[in-house]
Amino acid sequence: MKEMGRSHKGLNIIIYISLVINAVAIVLSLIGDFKIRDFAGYIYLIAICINLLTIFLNFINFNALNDKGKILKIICYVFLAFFFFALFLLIFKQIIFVTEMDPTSNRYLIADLIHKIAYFGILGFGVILSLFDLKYLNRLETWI
Amino acid sequence: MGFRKFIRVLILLFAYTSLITGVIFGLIILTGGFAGISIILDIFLPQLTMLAFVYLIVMLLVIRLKWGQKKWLVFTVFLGFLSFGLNILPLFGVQTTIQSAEAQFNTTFGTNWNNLIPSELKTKFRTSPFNMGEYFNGIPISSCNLSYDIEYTFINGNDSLRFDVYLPLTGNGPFPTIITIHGGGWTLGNKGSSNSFQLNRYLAAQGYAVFDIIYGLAKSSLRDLTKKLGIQNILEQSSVNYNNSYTIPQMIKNIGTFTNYLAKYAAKYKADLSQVFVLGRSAGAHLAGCVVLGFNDSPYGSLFNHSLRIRGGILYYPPCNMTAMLDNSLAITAPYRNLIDIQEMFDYLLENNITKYRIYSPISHVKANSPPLLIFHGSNDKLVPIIESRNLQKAMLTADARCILIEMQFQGHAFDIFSGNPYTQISYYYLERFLALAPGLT
Repeated sequence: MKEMGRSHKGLNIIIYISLVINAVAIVLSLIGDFKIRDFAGYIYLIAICINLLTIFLNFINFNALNDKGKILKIICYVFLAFFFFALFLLIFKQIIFVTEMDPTSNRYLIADLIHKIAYFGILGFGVILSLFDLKYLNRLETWI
Repeated sequence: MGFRKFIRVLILLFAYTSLITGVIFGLIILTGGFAGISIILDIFLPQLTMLAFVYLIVMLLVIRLKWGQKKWLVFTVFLGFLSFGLNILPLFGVQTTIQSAEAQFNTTFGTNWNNLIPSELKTKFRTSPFNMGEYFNGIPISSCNLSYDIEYTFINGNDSLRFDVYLPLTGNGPFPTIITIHGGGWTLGNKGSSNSFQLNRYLAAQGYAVFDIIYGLAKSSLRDLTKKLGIQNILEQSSVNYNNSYTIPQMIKNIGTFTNYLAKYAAKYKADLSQVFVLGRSAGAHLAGCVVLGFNDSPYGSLFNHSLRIRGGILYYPPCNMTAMLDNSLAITAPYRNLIDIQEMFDYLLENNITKYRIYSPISHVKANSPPLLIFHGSNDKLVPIIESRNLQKAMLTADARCILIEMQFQGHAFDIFSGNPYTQISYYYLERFLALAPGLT
């Protein structure tokens, strides 16, 4: 078992960045102004990249033989699967909006709800993964 | 083979198939498609750049499963980033497109064109051509007053030709008027959800009276094909039946009938007839081009009501020169050509009359006093090649008329289907500015 290896330290920095970026993206995305929406979009883009990097660093660092490592492994796989489908769901809303003329229809509202779940789900999972990483960061048996 | 190993092999198979598909999709975006690949991909892929991240996700999965196998890892990372890079490519054309559009606005309206726009209008405008937030969420739907399915003429004992009208929520009018004409190869399509109703709502919220019309479609083997494939309803979503026996001259006549209706009921719909724009997409852009450029003195100019004053035309990916069909230079992708007899379709549309190929070409009616045009065209459009718009712009500028052509980098036909697409956003931004500035030119 390695004691606080180099990759692990890299993870240390990324966790904090991920936590902040995801949280800021969530807050900014709730504000409707055109310019803030633009800024929130860039933060969201960065959050996507940071989340993918966090998953990568987890994949190469966690100890899958350890219970806590297994928890991280499951979170990472579930996050990755969610991420995969969420990207399609982000587009799904735009497809429905092209074909549904009435913004008060159930189809329209459901598409909007699904979009929100996908959009904020990516950020939410990012926060959850970062919090678990933070929790286990100093438990050396979690990492290889 | 154990169950876990079996699942692992399946996942790897799926992952590598996805990554290789990603590379192929990326090459379609880069080149605008190959012969034999469906035009559907050419249309949709450049608009769905967000899916590029899917390839990074798949790459991460394989990295985890193949960790420790150096050769496989290098191959996977190469494939992953190649797929990602190629699929995200259209995002990198955004800046070039904006710069080109700015330069053309400077040439057409003068370098201080931004100051010419009344400040009360500017407050409603988008403040930048591209908004990253809307890339992920789409452009928010605007509110307006909407009336559906109003009949403007009943012809041939069966056909009820109708329109939808989008009006601003507030104000007494009269409002500058936009007539929008849907696309669909003259044989498919409909008003409403088949004709970017989001933009119609958006323009109504900006203070325009938007009339979204049907004009009578033609019969064709393309139509029969969509019926056979079971996608006709998806493409049309129509509750209105008509014979589908119209030719292009008859479609123009029907649009002329609508202008008469509009002139008669302008007060009812608060339409300002002194400020009329015509907007069309694809085949609709061809018809819009005929109306705008042929309004006064073409052989069919007398069909239109001349109490309307046409201030400009907005053409999305328009076929401009029908004579190009005679020598097959109006490019229709190879698989599309194989599916239906294009020449037969055009002969029907233009009543087997070679002269009509020229008369019903917008480019034939360009004059010095032609109303200004704003054209949007995807640089990789294989269905209606961009050369059509370039030639129209060249003809307009040569005749000393005003014409702006915004070439959407890496985009195919119908690039504005999804409102989140950066290029749809760009078209909104410059369209609203064109509508504000164009009346100053005529």
